[in-house]
Amino acid sequence: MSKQSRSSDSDSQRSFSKKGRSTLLGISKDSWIQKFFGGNALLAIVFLLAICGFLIKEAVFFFPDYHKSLQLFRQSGQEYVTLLEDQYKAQKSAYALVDQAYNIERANAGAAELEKITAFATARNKVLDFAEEAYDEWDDANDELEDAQDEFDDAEEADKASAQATLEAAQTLEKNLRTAWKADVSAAVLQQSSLSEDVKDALRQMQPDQGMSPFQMELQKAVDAKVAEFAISRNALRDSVKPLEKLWLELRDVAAAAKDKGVTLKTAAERKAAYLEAVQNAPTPEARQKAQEQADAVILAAPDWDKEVAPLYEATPRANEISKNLLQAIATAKENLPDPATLTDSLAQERLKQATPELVKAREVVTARTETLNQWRHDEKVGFFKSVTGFFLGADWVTNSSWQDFYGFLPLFTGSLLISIVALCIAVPFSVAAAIYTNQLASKGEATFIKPTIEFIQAIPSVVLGLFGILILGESLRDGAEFLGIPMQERLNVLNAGILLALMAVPTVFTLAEDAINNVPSAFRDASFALGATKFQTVLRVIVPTAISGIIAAILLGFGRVIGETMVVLLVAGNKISIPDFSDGLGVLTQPVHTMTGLIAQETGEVNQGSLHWRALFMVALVLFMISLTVNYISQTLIRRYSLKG
Amino acid sequence: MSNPFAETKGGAKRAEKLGRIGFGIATYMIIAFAITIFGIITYQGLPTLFNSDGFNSEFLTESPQTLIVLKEGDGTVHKVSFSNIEKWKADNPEIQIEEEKRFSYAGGGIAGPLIGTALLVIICMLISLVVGISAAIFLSEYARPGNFLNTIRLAILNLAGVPSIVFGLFGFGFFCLSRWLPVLRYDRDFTQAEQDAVIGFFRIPFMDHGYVSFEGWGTSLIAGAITLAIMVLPIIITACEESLRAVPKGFREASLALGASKWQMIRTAVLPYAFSGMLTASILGVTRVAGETAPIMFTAAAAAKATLPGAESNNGGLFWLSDLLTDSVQAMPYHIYTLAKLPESEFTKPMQQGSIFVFMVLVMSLAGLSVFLRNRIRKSLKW
Repeated sequence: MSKQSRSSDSDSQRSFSKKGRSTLLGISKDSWIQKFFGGNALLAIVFLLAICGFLIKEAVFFFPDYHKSLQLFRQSGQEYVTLLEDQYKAQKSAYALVDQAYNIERANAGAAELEKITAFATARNKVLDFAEEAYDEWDDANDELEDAQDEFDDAEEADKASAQATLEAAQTLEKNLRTAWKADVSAAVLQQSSLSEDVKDALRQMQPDQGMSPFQMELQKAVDAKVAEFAISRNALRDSVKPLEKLWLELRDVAAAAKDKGVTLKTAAERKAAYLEAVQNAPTPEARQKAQEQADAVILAAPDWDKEVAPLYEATPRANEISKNLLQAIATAKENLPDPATLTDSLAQERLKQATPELVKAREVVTARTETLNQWRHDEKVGFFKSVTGFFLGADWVTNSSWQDFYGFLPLFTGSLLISIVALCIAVPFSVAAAIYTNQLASKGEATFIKPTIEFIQAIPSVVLGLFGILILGESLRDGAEFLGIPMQERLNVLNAGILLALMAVPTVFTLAEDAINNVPSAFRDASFALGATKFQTVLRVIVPTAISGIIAAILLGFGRVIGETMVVLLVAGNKISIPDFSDGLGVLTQPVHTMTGLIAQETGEVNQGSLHWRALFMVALVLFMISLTVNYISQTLIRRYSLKG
Repeated sequence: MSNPFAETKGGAKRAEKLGRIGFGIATYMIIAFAITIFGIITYQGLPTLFNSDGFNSEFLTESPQTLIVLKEGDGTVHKVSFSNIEKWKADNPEIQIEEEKRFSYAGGGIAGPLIGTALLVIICMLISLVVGISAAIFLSEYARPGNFLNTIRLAILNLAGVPSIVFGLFGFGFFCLSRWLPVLRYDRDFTQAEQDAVIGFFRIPFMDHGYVSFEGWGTSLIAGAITLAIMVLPIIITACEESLRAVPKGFREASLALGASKWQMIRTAVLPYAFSGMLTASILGVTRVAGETAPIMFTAAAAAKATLPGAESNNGGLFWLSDLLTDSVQAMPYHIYTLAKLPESEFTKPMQQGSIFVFMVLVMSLAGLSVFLRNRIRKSLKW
């Protein structure tokens, strides 16, 4: 309201104040009404501050709590065990690739022999089936023979003769039945006309009490000989991993037990604090005494950490020995691994090529971890800053783990950012083009159709779009990708979510960009026309550059909307908590990710209030809140600066 | 001599044409994509509303329940909702069932979620309209330029940018779990039942905690509605203020010149003319509120409920209202979320497709209504 009307208002109050102007507590009715309205307006500030304050209140203790958790992680020796685990995992993944390559190559190089072995095994089963009756009879006779043999061995001197007779009879029977069985086998072999002669021979020479046939063993040996060179490195790696795994599992139990003691101490301290609080608040002396007794009963005995982790220090020489072996094995492998080009199978070649960098990585990991391991001290303090960097730069978000929870924000942030960028890359060209077209190029009738229609998109509920992404878009994208020859393993991925979010961002960006273009003074356009520019030239060289800060503000607000969107990403992004693999190029779009919003929506329902996990979720929400406030602030500043110019 | 005003032959003209076409294609591609989505959802969802007997009234009158799929020896499949299974078996004793499979949430209809969403929207709008219109009146009629006004405007702008999941988390912690507002003590003379019903609304165990709290609320209709109201407040305030400002200044000046007090002026010369604009704003708010899932998923929504809202309570009057407000409800968006998480199956698909179709049509027609009203107001009110 203008100043004039206000002053006239107060003047009129003074002049006509007696008539119909009741007062309450010395304040007039009109003033009360004004205060009521003002109070309601104030609520906007109150709500914003309440949200901000509540998020901070719940999140602020995250870092101290996480610091304590990390401290316990070190104190209990879990960190030490993780150092071993890292080595184990690095070595194992290198070994797994070499092993795969080895097995594929073995199967391929020895294909002929392996085929023969299979053919032999199949034929053998058939033959044995055919001769089953004879075999059963022989088997009984064989048992009898064994009994007779035992009897003969145990027999007294006097009974020796009769035992010998029984034994001989049993031997004859067994021999006859063995011959009968072999006759059956030969008959069966004759029917297997498709077999090669050497297989047939091997079958005929088979004995009923024989395990693996020498024929098979020879073939196996022949196969192994073909990949003997490869086997050296593979076996070296295999043998190096085993002792490490053993040590790791052994020490893991030690550290886990130590950690349990630490956790027990923590809960006991909390219980004691609760009892002591009850002592303070007890209504009656009896209740107070009871609470005091309960509090006294809780004994806080800190575990003797030096003793708990002593086995770890004792194991250090062993760990050093093992890592020496690991490095030795890696060196052996490097020396003896065949050149991938010499392998006969393309898949084996590929695996072996993948294995080479893994081996390098394993060597680095083993060297670095062993060094850390030797300097590791359980009583060294964890820096407080570590909990902050552990959150903001941590690559793992592991919760409800029996080992140790990690709250690393990075995978969520990258996921959210990646999806938002994809969505904006799709949405911005379309919506800015649409804004320019609608405001400058389209006819009036077109504009009155386009504007409400695009604004209408805003009304589609996000959960509907999410389910649409699951039911239809995922499948169609996969079909499309297959058509283009791009592999898409996951139906729910970055691209799927990005497209749907792009659709949601379009109305926001379009409306605001259109506003910005609309606000360009018409004198600019007229001047441009007067200079002989065409309409299109005017749009591109005069109007868009003038409106550019408004358009950027629109894009930023679109970004704010997209990064804060929950349901679409929760349903469609795939919800896999890991930093996407950017080495894949554009293939990163086909990977599933998790997002900040999606994670909060997914995990909040199942955590205890006040737990570390709860605080971590609030911390994520606080960061999200700050991001949206910043985006909002920047775009508002841009709009304000721009409107001053206009 | 050539005509100096003749159109030049050159790239400029062609560029203009091409640019126009290119920008036009981009524009219509957006619309085409949106219409495709709309079309696919309609095409797939419509069959759910009809069954072999014509209109499938069960879909709109029943609550979600487990679907039982009965398979006969010859491969004939019967689909029966859980509540009808006894009756169906009694009616068809001759049918020999070979195989029985259950699909949760795939049977029944969406009556419960629809009613729950309606309740959430109504309560939310009651709260946000009172606060929002009052705030808008203050901003447009009373506020003087200055720090206070700037702060309020900044708060409104920022509140509008807060992600909906943050509202959800805030509402969950603040209304459903926390106990930290100091307030009055209650009268100890209430009976236990009354305490549970009424005091439960603002459970205030003053002697035990020294705090007031919303802890009696838990996951409840009222917690969800307030959370949604806070979320939609900036939209309502902005839209209402706009419609108030659209009323010409002359109306106010004329009214004041006739000796009206400020409030009389607002009541008689401003509000009636801004009313239709506020109505549009509120419908816009409804559209936004009805579609939101994140703010209600922890604060108000329940995946499954045996009865409709308020039907469980044995109390009457105010106590019934309290029971209703402090009970969780099913809501359409959350129901769709629940359906979306189900494993893929041919028997759950009709429910999924039908639900998103009905919900989308409902929300979009509200949006359409607000656009239609806005256009009518713009046409009818010209000063």
